[in-house]
Amino acid sequence: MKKRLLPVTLITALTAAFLAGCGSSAQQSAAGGSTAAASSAATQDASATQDASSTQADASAPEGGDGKTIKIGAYGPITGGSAVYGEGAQNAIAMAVEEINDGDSGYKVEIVNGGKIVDDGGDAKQAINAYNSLMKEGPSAIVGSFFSSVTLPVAEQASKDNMLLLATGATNKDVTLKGSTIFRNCFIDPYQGKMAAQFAKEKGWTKAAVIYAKDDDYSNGLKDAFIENAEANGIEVVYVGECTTKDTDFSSQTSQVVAKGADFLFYPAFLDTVPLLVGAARDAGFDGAVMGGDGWDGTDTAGFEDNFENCYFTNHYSSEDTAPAVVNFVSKYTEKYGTESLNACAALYYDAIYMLVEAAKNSGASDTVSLVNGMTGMTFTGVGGTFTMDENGDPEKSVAINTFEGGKVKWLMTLSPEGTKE
Amino acid sequence: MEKRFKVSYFLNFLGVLAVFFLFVMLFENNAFGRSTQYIKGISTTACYTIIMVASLNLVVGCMGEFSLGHAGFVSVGAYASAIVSNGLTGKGLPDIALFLVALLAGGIAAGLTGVLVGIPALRLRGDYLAIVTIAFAEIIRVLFCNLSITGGGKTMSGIIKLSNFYWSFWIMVVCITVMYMYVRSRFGRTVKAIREDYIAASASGINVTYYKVLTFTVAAFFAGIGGGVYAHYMTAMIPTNFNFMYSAELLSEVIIGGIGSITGSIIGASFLSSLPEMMRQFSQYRMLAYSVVLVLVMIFKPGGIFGAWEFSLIRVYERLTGRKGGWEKSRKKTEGGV
Amino acid sequence: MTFSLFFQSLINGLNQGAIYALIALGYTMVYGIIRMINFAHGDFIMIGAYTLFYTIPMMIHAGMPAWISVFLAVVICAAVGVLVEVIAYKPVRRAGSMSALITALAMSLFLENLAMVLFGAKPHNVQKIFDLPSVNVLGVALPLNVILTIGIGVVMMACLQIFIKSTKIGKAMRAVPQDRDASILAGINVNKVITMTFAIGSALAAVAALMYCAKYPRVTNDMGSMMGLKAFIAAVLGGIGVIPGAMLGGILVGLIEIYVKLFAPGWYEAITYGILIVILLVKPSGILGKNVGEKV
Repeated sequence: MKKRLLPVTLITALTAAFLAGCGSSAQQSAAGGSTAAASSAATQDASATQDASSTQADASAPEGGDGKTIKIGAYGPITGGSAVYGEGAQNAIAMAVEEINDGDSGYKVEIVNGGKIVDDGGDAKQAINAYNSLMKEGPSAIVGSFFSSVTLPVAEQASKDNMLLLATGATNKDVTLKGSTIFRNCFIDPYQGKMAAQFAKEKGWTKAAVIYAKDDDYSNGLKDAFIENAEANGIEVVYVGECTTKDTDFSSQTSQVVAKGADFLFYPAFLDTVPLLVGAARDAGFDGAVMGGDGWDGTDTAGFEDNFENCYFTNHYSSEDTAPAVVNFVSKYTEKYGTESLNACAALYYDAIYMLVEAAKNSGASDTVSLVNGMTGMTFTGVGGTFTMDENGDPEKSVAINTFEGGKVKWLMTLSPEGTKE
Repeated sequence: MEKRFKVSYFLNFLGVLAVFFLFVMLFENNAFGRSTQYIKGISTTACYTIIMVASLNLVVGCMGEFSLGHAGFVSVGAYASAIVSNGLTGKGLPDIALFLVALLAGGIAAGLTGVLVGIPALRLRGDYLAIVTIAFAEIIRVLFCNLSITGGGKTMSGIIKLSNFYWSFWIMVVCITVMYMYVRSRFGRTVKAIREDYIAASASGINVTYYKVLTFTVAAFFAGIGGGVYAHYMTAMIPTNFNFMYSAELLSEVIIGGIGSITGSIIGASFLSSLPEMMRQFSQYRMLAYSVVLVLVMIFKPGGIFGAWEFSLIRVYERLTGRKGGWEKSRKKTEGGV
Repeated sequence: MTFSLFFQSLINGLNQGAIYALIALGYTMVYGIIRMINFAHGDFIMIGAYTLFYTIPMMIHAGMPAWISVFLAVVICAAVGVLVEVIAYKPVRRAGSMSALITALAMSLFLENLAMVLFGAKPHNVQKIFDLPSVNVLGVALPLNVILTIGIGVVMMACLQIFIKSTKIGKAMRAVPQDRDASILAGINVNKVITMTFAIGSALAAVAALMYCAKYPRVTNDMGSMMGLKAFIAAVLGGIGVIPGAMLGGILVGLIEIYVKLFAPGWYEAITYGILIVILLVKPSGILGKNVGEKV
């Protein structure tokens, strides 16, 4: 038996290689497998002549060549630890679609997949499948997602497919660098870290400690930006501690923060572990300010109210902002859906839909190429303020700084790159 | 080789070819319309999952031991192949060569890890071995979190998307063939003997440690190749993707498919990797359903749904042509079950 | 490193170690008697924690101290433990340790995902259970929680030892792992003994949940798996099947983790798992365990 192993394996392998070669040359026009199907789908859309017999066509909105219907696919974290973000996104999108379709902008919006966001579960593997399942519906643009680790692979693929991807909350700076059709409507990690350092400087703190989650892109990005900018702002970084996203015990790191005499602690991580860290810090005797990024949005402070005094976080918006766009959004959302899922993710997805309509208005058509043209360099005013898209597809936005009073989030100030602005 | 084996191999080869051409026709003729990319994506996912699950089946089925750290080997293969392909890109290699070299690098790296893990770990058996494999997988994960070349805990993105369905399919076929041959070969039979009665095997002069480590290494090698295909399909990955949950999922797929049955692994893996897509509405309940099925399988059919049964084209052929046992005209009927 | 940091870390380590010790107690007890690693033990703790999350507000509302809710948690955990044993573990008991391990893993996954479906994946904060002050010793803050946790652990351990050594059921529990067939011949109802063991082990899990929530007041559905693994390492280190070993192992693992975090915070998990590997290779019976050879 053993003697035959070698020749048979060789023959099988050679034939396999031969056939793979045949297979791949046969699909040279299909360009390495997956892209052609998608790009042919995209060009089909671009000509805006939908096949009436194509499967998955939505019955509701008017199909066809009027160029006034924007077909959007959305994906986000419906399940998993951040399901509250996904819920907010779903509600916000439904609200936006209703408002636009009833309004008089001249355009209609249609969300594929029956108006529902496709779930990515906060997981990159599922996200790619979510993206593929959206693509088969032939949208002109795709909106999502909130997490960078999920959006990066999708951005890579979307760029290959020349599909417009509008990331709603993915703050890793590499996302928009994947291609010219990738945009985002949130600020990027380096910017948040910079704003946190600026805030610390304005408040007069001089010794900063940082604890970050080593196995998370977001945490790493903010920590790097913060340290760089803190040092530039004259703040001494006395301690940099590591943890992981699954950690529950912070006693060691917080003891060291206290031992090094810091008066400001930066903890750029996600909402799940924030109460534990703040509790541990206070238990260790740290009375200084604790600050985080937009990942703190939605933190459950129940039972920890006193610990959260003197805590801050940067966010994409604040629900108490007095700007008319925000007030409008907050009041309408609260009326329809309550406040439990009213978070920055909802605001971002809401703005995203409106941004696509604005892009269509700018370029005059609703296909992918026109939307990309319309969005490049666009200036937009929405719940997140007024901002312009830069050459990478990132917006230059102000940052809202929130604090806690009695465990509830309170808006403190809005910080723009030039300085404080109330 | 006996004639029956030759015919059997030829038949299997024809069968695989037929399946491949079926897929090619479906995809090239746009039979799924706009869903083509979607279905292709799922199929590629199925391909690399099959490789991973089958390699774990070598350990679980052939060797009779549980490895709950298989995701560790997968991650070694994934990262190693990504580093190699990133390093060699732009040097003028055609894509297929780049892909194969990267995969081999991933496989070899994973195989080496298999040796390093296997030598200490395989001295233990049963429960303790399972726990130790978890420990090793976690150590590997922490290692990747701390190395800067793999992104140091952040997502490593920008991996070239080399895994298209056609190449992945044939890589899977080759891997499965080699694994199948290993199981049927002298090595496989020796390891099965060790599984059946460890003391008797050792008493009859077999170097137990050698065979166990060898099987473990081969399994790790193929897990690494599966990881390489995974990396070049996802183009981005983070060490937390390869956590204990992923190992548990792979093990569940092995058991549900059938311990010791490569057919079971193929069917189980392809079914279970496409199931989440078909059941999008129920994605929350997926792992719940897996665990319930797993418990039911363990209670009612401990060998897995397919048990140790293998699908065999030659048996189908024999039944159709009534050739059973009549292959060798001049020789006595030999036992040698394929 | 200053003395105060060293001492503070010692306290932190004892605190964490005491919690691991409590969890390990249940693990080691079940293993000692049934020779089975109950993968789902960490998830029993998770169930206990969720029970506490829901019952503590009720207790506070009724004007009673929060920790009374542990009794309800004990009852529920014991019930779940017995249920799991009867439904899942008993049918595969005969099939060998492989099947048992897989079934335990499957039950662990089942409980985790069931909790996710029932309670959602978002973490919940548990209200403060003990409002004990922190005493200032030698310049560092010593939360009295630590003393309480260690105290409870020692009391539990002592009770268990007495139970196993002196009572009739305890003797039966010691007989079963030694020689199951002989136990049956001696008239011991093995099934009842095993069920009882699970009940006690799960009850211990509920107590561990109480002390865990006192320190880390947060419950999620996946808190069990890693906790269970760390506790298993603690049990093995101290000597699996040996009850004082769980205490010893737990404290040691807690201390090692905290001290490693001081120097190499990114690697502390690797070190903890490394300990497990080393112990299993060098002295599998653990520090306090006796080496029992393999019968051919």
